[in-house]
Amino acid sequence: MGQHSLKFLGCLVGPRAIALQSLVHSLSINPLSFALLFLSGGSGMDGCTVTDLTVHSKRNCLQFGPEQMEALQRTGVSVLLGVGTNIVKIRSGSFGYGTDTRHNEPVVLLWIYGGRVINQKTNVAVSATWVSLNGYDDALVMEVVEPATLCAFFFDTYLDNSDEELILSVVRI
Amino acid sequence: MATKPIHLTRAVALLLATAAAGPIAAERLLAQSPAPPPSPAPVAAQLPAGTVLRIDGSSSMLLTNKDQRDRFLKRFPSASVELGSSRTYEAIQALINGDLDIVAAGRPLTAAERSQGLVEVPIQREKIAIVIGSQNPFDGTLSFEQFAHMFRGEITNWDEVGGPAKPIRIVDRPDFSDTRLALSRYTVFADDSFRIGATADPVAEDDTEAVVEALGDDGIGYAVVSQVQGRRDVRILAMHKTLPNDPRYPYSQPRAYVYNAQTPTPAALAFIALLKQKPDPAASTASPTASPSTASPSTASSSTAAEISQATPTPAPASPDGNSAGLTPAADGAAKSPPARQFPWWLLGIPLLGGLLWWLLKEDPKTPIAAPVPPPAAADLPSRIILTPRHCRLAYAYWEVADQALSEARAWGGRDLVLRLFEVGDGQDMPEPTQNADPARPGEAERHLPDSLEQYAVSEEQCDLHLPIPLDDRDYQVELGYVTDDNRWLSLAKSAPVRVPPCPGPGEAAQNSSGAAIETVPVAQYDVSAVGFQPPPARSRPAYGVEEADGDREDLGNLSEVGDETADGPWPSLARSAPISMPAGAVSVAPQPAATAPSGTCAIETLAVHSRRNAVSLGGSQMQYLQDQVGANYSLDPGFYILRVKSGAFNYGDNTHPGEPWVLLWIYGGQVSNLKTGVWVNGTWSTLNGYADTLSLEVDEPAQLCAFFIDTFPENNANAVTLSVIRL
Repeated sequence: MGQHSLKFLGCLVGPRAIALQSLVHSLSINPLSFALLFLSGGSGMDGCTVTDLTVHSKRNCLQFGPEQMEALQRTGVSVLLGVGTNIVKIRSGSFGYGTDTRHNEPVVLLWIYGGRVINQKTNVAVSATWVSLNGYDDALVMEVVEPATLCAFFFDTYLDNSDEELILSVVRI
Repeated sequence: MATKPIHLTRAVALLLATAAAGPIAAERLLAQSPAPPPSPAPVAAQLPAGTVLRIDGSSSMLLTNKDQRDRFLKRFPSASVELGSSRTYEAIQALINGDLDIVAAGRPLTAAERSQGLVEVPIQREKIAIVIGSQNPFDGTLSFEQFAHMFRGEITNWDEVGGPAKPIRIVDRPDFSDTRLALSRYTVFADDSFRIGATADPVAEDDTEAVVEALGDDGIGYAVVSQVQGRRDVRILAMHKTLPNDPRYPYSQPRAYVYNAQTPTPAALAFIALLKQKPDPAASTASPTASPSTASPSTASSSTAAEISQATPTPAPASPDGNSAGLTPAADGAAKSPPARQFPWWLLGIPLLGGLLWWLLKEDPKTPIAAPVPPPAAADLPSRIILTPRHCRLAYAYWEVADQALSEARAWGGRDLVLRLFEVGDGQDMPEPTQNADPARPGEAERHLPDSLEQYAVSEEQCDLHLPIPLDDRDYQVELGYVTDDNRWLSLAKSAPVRVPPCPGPGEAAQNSSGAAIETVPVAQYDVSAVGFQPPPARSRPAYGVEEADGDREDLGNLSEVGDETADGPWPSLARSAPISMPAGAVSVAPQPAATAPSGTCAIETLAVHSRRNAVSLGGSQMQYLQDQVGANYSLDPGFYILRVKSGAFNYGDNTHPGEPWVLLWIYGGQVSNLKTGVWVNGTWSTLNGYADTLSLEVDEPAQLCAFFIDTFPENNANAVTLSVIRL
């Protein structure tokens, strides 16, 4: 993978980062736009780094055998998405890797397949796609052109005895 | 910001722990060859005197063969049966050469074998038990990974898995064993890892007796359940605390009876026809050829077509018609009261494992995981069909039917797969079977049909069909099923009724190109953050988790209809469509302009995703491989980051497709917080979808970013995505 670093003017470290994240979070604005705006103003700031990672579709691709895909589709919670606009959000709950639920995070992975859908964020009609929902304000807005199956799941490295539940709402409009 | 513990250590510990506790469900191969059996033929009234039926094949089929032999002889008392148990490959060659009538195969036929005119009639898979000798002091449970490590000689002593300090011997079967072949195909043995090590002590013959004798107090082996269950000299080990009677138990073996369709012998045709014939509870007394005095209750009911639909040759509870569905051959005296350690084997009949093996084997390797169309119907999920009106003159039907259900329907005599479209009104749908034959419709005696019925022939490979709608503004249903030679209808799945909208009158706006009126609603007009996410008063629908499915249980109930019989013939309803979620949970949304919001309603479906039951386990080795070998990695030092896809797209190697700009991210090894969740975690997953999507991340402890894709066949993927990591 190639890595190319570019130096920009402006930087924010330590307490500034905290202030920034709080500000961005509280204002619910696009963090990238905010960052670019912040960077463009740049006086009196240190360097900032942009690193480009090349993620290759073959070299950086985790191969899932058909058995694993089948297991994923069987393990996850599936629902058929009808033709139309479908919106998926986390309504409540969270997921964590440990027993301390204070570190649980409202996050879920979605595998959409078997039809034809257009994720509004990519605007490309595909027969399958992967999406994560991170947080209660995150939403997947998707045009379902042909009925597809949504499979919601987590990846875990240890299937412990946790008994948490995350509630997804799938709204078809 | 609180001080965080040493999470790297914890992550490593988790990974190590995972190596010994992999997924329970992830290894399951679903299978059943969907190779269509020949057109069903009636069982011959009699066979020429002196007919000899010659059966040979896998030793794993031994008990089943005896069972079928008894049934055959009961039907044709003047015939005789020669049973052998050599090897599937050699038996198949003998069948091709005309030296055999039937092969009992413990594996699917190869394409080359099929090309020579051989046809297989699949019967239910049988579970593979992992066994130890009764004198073996080990009393624990194993994980799949542990067993794989044992098999390869990487775990050499029982004390490594919680047992006494004693070397392990792997009592392996010979490499021509069908049971061994079935075991080798599981994921835990993927990547050429199905190999024995120095601890192997294989038996020379594919014989369970030899395996059991060789176990001693330190050996571990494997066998089909029917050949080891209930024995005092062998114990079946739990895998992940799961015994073979648990549907999650993964290891099973495909089984089928094979005959030469090019040069079938009368005995072979009679055997196959009898195999596929539904059991007649009265046969033992009504058949002029049957000899009640020789019909043991256990054998009489076991040697039925239930062999095709029942899971295991073990005693089963009484079926609805009051007959045992057990398959225990009386000749072995196995139909005894179960020993204390015996499991409720009849449960094995519940989860009908489906036909994914066929799908797996025939799948074009390039078919990306992105497009499993049709998505393979999980075998333990019900078949279903969904009808969606596209516009007032066209509807779209989409279905998923497990290969197992197709196979069983064919075994029941299903000949032509047909999709029926019919109008329903006032909440009435297709009537259920009745015993009142409709003389006006010969062949549909099992139930009355609606007046408006359109039928479309479909193929077994098909999963959808566009259907012209005869009359708009009415309710329709579709039902998928087989028509038998004698015009019986074997239902596979039926949709819920849906309303086809009225066609616009003169001067009204025309349908859009897709015909889906809902598509005319601009999404942007909805406040995404607000729609439908008011806390509902209660879960309006069952959650789609393990306990989701009271609906599934209804389907299982229908599955249990297999074997029921009405006066007009069998009605093996194999599956019904699950109710689709629509207006029951509908709520109103803000009024939309009439031109763009024709319905004004939306439907909310609630899914419960459980942290354990719906978690796909990535084994420790796979996670390590992902992190070390696969992902594009970047070290995140403490600070604030923004990540985005700068350019590129991923198209599964399909250069005719522009691809989608997205990437999957695994961030681990230190405390991070995704601004969208605001929670400090040691590991998190996220995707970036599109060029405007961003991940804002605060890193409190050094962490690793791992960016990657997932594909079933990445070999010819060629494009790339550029991921920008902006550190502020």
